[in-house]
Amino acid sequence: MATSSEPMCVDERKTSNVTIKEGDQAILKKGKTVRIFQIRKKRDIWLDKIKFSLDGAVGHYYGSTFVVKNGQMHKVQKTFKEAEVLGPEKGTDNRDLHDLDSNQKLSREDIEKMKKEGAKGQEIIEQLIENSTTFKGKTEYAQEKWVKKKKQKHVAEFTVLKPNTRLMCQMYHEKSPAKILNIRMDTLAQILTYGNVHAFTNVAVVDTCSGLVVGAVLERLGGYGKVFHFHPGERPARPIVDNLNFPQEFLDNLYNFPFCEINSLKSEEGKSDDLIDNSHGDSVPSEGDSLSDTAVKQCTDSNTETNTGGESTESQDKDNTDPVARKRKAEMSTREANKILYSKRLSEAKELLLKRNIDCLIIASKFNPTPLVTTLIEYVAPSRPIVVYSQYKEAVMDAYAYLREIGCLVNYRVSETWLREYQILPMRTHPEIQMSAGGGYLLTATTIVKEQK
Amino acid sequence: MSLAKYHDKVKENDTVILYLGYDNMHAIKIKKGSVFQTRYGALRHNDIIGTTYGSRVHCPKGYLYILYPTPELWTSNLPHRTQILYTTDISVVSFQLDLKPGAVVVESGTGSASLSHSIIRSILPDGHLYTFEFHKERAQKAEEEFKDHSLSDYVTVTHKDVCQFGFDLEDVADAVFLDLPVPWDAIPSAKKALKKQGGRICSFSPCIEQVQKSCACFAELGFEEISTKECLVRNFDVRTINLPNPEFFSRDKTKSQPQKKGSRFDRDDMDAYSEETAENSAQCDIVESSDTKENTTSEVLDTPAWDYIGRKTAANFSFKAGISLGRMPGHTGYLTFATLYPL
Repeated sequence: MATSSEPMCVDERKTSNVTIKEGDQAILKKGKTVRIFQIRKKRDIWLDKIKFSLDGAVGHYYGSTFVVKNGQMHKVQKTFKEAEVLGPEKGTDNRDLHDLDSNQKLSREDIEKMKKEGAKGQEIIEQLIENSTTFKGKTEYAQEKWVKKKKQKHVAEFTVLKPNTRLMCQMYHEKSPAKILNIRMDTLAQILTYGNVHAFTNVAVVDTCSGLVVGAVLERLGGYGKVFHFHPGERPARPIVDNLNFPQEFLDNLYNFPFCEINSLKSEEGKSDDLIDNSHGDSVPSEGDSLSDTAVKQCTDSNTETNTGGESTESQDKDNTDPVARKRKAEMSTREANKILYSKRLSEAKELLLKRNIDCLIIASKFNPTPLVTTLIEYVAPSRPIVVYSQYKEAVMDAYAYLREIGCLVNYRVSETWLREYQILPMRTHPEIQMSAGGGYLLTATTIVKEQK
Repeated sequence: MSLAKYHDKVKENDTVILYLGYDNMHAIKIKKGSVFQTRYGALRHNDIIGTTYGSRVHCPKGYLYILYPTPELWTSNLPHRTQILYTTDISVVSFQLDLKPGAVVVESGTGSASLSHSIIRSILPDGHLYTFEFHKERAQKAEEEFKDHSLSDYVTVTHKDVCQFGFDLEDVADAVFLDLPVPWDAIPSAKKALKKQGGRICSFSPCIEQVQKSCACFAELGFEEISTKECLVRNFDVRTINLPNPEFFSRDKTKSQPQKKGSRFDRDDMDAYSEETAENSAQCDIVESSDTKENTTSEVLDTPAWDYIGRKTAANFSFKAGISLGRMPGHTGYLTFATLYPL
């Protein structure tokens, strides 16, 4: 197992990022429709009512645009600009325009026929313009808007993008904001910046937002430094981390810490001095590594071979001849191996946390933040940032009030950010008609050396 | 000292942040023998050297905390040579430009290097920032600061007017940031600097006219997903508020009530009360709601066991609130982002 302090070299990282490969998680974007898929050859997917396979994407740069023809993807150059199809004729206002279905002479069947015959997007749009009785009477701006709308409807072009935090946050915020506790991109941006999340920092994150914050932190760490993911239940649910497709080196630095183990961490504080003496800095002792590797290897080997060493039982011969019993035994061995690995990782995590040199604590969960922050702040080094997020101002204020009582922080700030987007077009510039009503609240502060009373 | 990597103890030549209280911080460079005057008296640098970051240090008339200089604390306390970008905008820029270790970023103008410090923090150890500044002294000062903060390995400062002469970089950058009065003059060169596999660009402009021209230029040059945003921060002051309950009867005027010093209106004067609004009450709030000695009664009203939002007595409704008073930043600049896709 590679040591956590050596991520892959920069060149490897650069080339592996750039082209679409089988097995990658990829985002397919068509206008406003954004969906994530895993690239698997010869397997069909559905996007915007079109069925096709993703084979045609493999090997191209991320960011390439494709059209679908006969269920296959074909790379194309980017499509025409709206301005290219507009003619010189235009109206001044809409006083004589009536909104009637009969304005367009082409029927739905006509358009479908053109598409089947392989007409290019630009041709279809040009035909629609020719067959529109009202187009020439529209203002130049109305014409542009109309063409843009038709493009979105009839031109089946989409772009393949490499998932990153920005795109995942955007996708989830548009489709299922509840799954990310309504964290808006600017809020997540503040969390990462105020937390001073960067390479070589150890970050403790309480995350019940489908792994969005853990993923964002891993991205900013770039493989350098450790992340401790505190989560409810036995196993963390973080689909976004999977979508982000990090290299194994990054994930080796990610430790899971179930809430139910927090009390045992606190009770181990008495023994913490012994642990610190025995530890070898941040890296895992190599003997420990090979031990667990061997254990895992033995257990998985027993799936395919007859049992060697280790597990000899009286009924061994009988088990080897019975396929069902053999399978059950193999599954149990894998479970055993996983259990060993799991408890080993957990002890590693505890050992590291008890050093009390966490560089950043981030809380972004559906739970009451106060007990989380007042408990976990013990493990944060002095002069380090903490960030508490909640959708609810009251929860953030409560955490603030309790932390002030404890007196272990300075430079407090309770805040929210306000985000507004703009439409920028000549003579048509204005803020967007709709905007986000809220992006949650943050408490930020800096730890200090706790005075001995 | 390195802004790049935390370390525990204060050393000579470190830049440290002195925290004296709310909105009261200073950045100082540690030099043996130096003295820094604070409102609490003299602070000897020698006394700080060797202390742990986060420690409390005593001065003749009070104490302060020594904090490690994160880019955020640096931004709040750096010497301004120009108008700077603050952490709210810096955060959004870093996020939207997909900054992470290994990223190569091109920036102009450097200005006071507020954003520059933040970018470097996000892209180290294997990324690089190429920053351009057309003002000679500012370029030099930025270079000195990066050196002081042990960041020189991660940044190249060039004294150049990129609007006239371009960046002279090709196929190197994952992201470009422009904070220029005439950004469209630099956008073509910025496009060239971006990697062939594509990248992100951001232009920061205070004026909408600049934004319009920049967006037109982006569209012209084939950039996509052009999006203009604005992000503002609103801070809350967390306080306990007591709203007194109005009295719908008149008190016997022969009985005089002892008034608490500096507290609110005279209850007998209904006219005075009618001018009171919730905001005014907040201004003269008493910090601890248990402090209601001057009231005739402080018995809790017949309320359910869980007071819905706060605590009610016969005299008051008390609750903790996050208040935004006075003014807040209303505009810093418009942030326009765009993507360059590979051909």
